[in-house]
Amino acid sequence: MRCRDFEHRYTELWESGQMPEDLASHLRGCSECRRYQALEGALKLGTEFARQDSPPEPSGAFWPRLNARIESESGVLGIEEIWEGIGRKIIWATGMASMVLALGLVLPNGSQPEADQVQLEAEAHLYETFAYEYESNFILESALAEGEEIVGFRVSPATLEGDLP
Amino acid sequence: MEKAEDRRNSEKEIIRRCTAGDRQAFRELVNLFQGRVFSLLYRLVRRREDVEDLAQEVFLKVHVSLGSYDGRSPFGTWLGRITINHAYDYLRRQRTRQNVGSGPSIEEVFQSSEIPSSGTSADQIPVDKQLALKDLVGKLLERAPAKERILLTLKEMEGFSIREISELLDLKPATVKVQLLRARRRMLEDFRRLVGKRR
Repeated sequence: MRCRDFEHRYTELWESGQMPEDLASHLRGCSECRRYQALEGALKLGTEFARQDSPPEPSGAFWPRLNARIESESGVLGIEEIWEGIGRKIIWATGMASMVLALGLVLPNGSQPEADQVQLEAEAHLYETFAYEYESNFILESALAEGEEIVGFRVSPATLEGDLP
Repeated sequence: MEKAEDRRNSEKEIIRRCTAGDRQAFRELVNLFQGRVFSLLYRLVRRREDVEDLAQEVFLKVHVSLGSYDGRSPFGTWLGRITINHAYDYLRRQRTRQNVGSGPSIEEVFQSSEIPSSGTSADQIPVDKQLALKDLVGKLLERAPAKERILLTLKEMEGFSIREISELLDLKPATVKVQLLRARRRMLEDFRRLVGKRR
């Protein structure tokens, strides 16, 4: 058995303290591992002494001081809670906006025809408007050419010169 | 068995009153558990002068978060987790500030200790050597990584079982066993290096 194997297995026996025969046999013939065993024993004893060391007792001021800190920190906590509330609302609003955005990215396939329809209608309306304006301008030009007086009607040259889109 | 049940019911009742804002009930809760918190903190941080301040902070945390205690685990376990987490943060801060090793160095402590021959029982060791060995173990624990120090302290000093440690640290029992074994090996290795230096 190598010393390294002994150490590994020996540490595993920390709590049981029982040593199998193959380990005991190695130990009898190996001074280095006997040293290792002594170190472990020293650690165990030191641990035992440390365990007997009694912890400090709470002082008489422990509760009054704690109570005072609870009192004083409850005000601070109020402010903290307010900030926490604001923070939560911001997070909630950001989350909702993200969700709407995500839905917008996911849903266009479904509402595309409707959107196209709306755009077509808008374009048709635009053409209609231009056609009406063009026709009006034509009538106006003709009227002006014929010397008719049209009161309160202003026509910009741009409109007169403009082409249909 | 019945006593344990009575105690749990009494704890539940105090906690219920605490969450309803009863300060006197919180005082009762502190009185009931302060001994355990002091002991755990002292074993974990090993600084007598810091224990009371740390215990104050632990109970402040308890007061603030008592509403989130769902009663699934015993209150002592829940409180133990808060205490251990607080001690862990403290130990990490100490390590960052490199305050570990205040007081005599491990070498100085080791000089005054003597390795007893194997099989020596505790009562065969003179008191001054007992103190030296105790300090030596304390110094070796201080040198260990915070997590290993906590594991070793819970097992060796506080005498918790593997199952209790696994509940406290929210780890599987097998993980606790493996980490504990590793921590012991590392501590022994550290000790051996120290002996090697002196020889």
